[in-house]
Amino acid sequence: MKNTVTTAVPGRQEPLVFELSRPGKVGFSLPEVSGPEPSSGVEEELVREEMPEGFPELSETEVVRHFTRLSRLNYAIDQGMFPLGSCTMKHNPRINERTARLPGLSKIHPFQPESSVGGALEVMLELEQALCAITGMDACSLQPAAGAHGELTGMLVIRKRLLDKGDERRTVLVPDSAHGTNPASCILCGLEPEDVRSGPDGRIDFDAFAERVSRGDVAALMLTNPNTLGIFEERIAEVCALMHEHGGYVYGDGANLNAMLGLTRPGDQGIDVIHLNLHKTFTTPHGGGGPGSGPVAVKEELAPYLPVPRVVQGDDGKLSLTEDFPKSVGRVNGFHGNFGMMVRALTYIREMGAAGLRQAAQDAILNANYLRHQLSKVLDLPYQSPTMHEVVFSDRSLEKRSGVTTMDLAKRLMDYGFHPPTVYFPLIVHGALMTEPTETESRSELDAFVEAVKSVCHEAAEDPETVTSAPWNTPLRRLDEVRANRQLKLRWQPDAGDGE
Amino acid sequence: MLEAIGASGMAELLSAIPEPLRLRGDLDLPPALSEPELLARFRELGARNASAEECDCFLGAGAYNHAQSTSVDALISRGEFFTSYTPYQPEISQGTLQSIYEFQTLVCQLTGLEVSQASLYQGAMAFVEGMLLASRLQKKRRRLLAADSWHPHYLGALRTYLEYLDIELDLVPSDPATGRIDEQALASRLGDDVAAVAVQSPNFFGVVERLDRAAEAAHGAGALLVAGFSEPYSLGWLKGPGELGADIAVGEFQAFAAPPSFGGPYVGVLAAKRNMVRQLPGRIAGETVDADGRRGFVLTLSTREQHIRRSKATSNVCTNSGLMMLAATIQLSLLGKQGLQRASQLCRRHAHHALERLASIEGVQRVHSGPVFNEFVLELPRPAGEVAGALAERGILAPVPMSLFEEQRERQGLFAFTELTGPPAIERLESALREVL
Repeated sequence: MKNTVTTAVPGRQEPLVFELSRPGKVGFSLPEVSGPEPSSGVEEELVREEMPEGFPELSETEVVRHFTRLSRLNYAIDQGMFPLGSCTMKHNPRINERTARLPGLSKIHPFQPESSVGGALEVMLELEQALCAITGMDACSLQPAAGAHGELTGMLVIRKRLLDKGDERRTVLVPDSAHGTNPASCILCGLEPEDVRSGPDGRIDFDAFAERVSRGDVAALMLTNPNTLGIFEERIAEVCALMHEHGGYVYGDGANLNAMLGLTRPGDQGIDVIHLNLHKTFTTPHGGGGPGSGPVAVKEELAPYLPVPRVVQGDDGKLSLTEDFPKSVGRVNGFHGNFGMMVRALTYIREMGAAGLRQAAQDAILNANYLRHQLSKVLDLPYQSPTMHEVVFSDRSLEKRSGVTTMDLAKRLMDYGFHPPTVYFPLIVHGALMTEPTETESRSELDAFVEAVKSVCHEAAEDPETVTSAPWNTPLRRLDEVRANRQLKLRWQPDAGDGE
Repeated sequence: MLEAIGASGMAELLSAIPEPLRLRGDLDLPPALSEPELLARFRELGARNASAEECDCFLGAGAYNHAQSTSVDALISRGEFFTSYTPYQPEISQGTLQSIYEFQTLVCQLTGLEVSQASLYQGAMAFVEGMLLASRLQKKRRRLLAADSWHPHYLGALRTYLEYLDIELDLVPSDPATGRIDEQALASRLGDDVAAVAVQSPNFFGVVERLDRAAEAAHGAGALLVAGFSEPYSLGWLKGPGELGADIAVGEFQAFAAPPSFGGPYVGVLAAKRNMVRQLPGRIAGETVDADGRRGFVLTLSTREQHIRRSKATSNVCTNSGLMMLAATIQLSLLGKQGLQRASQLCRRHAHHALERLASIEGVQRVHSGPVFNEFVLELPRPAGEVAGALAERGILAPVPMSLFEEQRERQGLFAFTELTGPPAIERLESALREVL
């Protein structure tokens, strides 16, 4: 079917902005340029002769319509449930957007005199204190711009602390169920990640862990709690104590903090360093993939190693940013961190208060257990351990019975108006369906989701092709990812015809 | 619901948390605020800051205060955009995926390079990733050269990342008179162990570098040229780094995407030669077709990324700068050829007009003779930090004191100009400076 340049209606193409472009159009009015061209003294060879070929030229109306139509091709939390495990797709409060856009909190420059940004520094300090209170930690850096960035920062802190003590060990144990960013971040610190396996109950295999650590060469353990199966590591206090006994540290991946808010604290569990995902637990928006924000909180012993600059309060109560921390790992960010996300997260924390946050965690756990109870009737539940805020199912029986896989199930769920759960993660589960409803969902939304899953499982038995060729009702049918990898087309070109 | 599950109560569901680890009492947080109280609280915090809303802003140094079309915020505030997720299920994420593809195209067009990706956290991180990319591509060469006129925080971040990697960073000095990289110093530092030479243009001092000559020098020694920018409006005036010989371009698109926002979120860009594509970090959108043969877009080449390759990934990066990337894409679409050209003309005119006016003040001197776009360093008769404080009290945000980066440059300050700082604003700056100096 040939591509046609048409307006986007369900089932039809929205052209690229370059394809809508017509010479001479402009969409933004700027003041007139007057007077002679200044002589900058720059060499002619460095100056553009003309704007790039194919650079867009559209009117404001056309740009507004194009992106409005594009937006309507997306599914988003604003429309319905998004049970993506490990992502904590909870509602993004509109008030966050209002506070973050206040001119006094958005039109401020990172290098303004400190006396002119006292309010901004207070936002940062207040957030640091709140995050420490929530996690049971002693100090915090808001610099990392994303979760993975926070992980790297946390591991740099651990590495530097160890080297400071003359300890050159490099082995870091990482559960086989861990997020890929964990081992990837280790490599960047010159550390050597090594898998530690999970037991049949889904938790870290304590004996295997203890044996490995007893060899004396393990510098740290990276752990997510609850883990990526949504299971609480019951022996975490023992695990941390054992790691500490051998002079090592425990890094907590805070992606699953939503299960712990107000109920338990990583600091009390023995965790030394934790990163937080403001875009998960703390409702800063996912924005189609970012920006995130990944603050790192640490125990007192590790505080001197946090990145600089840090917000400090003088004896006179005045706040300032300082780099005067000689043991710091250095800078990880060009500026102070994603301030716009700090405002949003603080707004959420101030809106919820202690009781609200605890209620959120409880509701998240309740909702996940409800889904577990209902969906384990139609899907395999590989681990029987108690569920916290997310639950992982497997497609093993489904596939055996009908040939329908997790991928097919996910695609067919979209026809029912739901974003599917996270698929194929964690790797230790066959056809994993990692399901995290969050506290946002009401019982009726959960019931609708359960009905949809049951329906798809029924279709898998009665009419598998409906499922294996899904989706049918989305703006586009199943997309060929193999072809995208093989025939790389990563940008629009002016002279390329687009009837591929 | 508890009944439906067959649980006796919430406590049963929480029993997985061992008793000694359960929090006694409430978290130590201030009491919850209602919506009106929240707004009041944050307005109060905001009111304590001087902002570019009511002040003239002449601050740059990597973050710029440009005019942004009101349509940008209206569009990125659509819930379908800002509450959507990473487009792992492409069939219901074509809005996000197509805008990534458009962004990638715009980055290639402006930088004059062949492939790009879905954005990185910010310019400093793009710089780091670009240097690591260059190292991966030239595995046998363990040294990186960078002009000392890069943004000091970009260099700082790079040093943090290189700490435990088997890569050495050498800085190449700038000519103090021109503000440009010292070409002889560069030549003497090149060797067959150098993987890449990195030059920022316009550089941290605002001076435009000869990227073409840097490319020649680098290539002559078998090294790659990594070119960078933090003021992307310069690309409306100057040729893209790729056109001047750069192999990798890295930079900051904050100026297109968002107000200065006290440091973030911003949006980093990275572009490279086509044959480097499998080593690129982060997400990439590619074109494909659906089951009915219709064009669509998907995330592609995922085997580079951490969720597949884990410890062998090209980078640990997961998120991109999603919404900011979209904002930049929309702003560029609105500006178009004419708008970007006009904006860059206004920046240049305003900067050169200001240069003339400010240099006429007794005791004020232009520090570098090299050509500039919209930013330059002035030497003042008083410490620039004091001047900035005094000007802030007069509703003017200027300059960025160089002492934030180098103690010995205490009397030097960076002044930046955009479409928003025209002759009336410059007049206010000049008279305020005359008052305080």
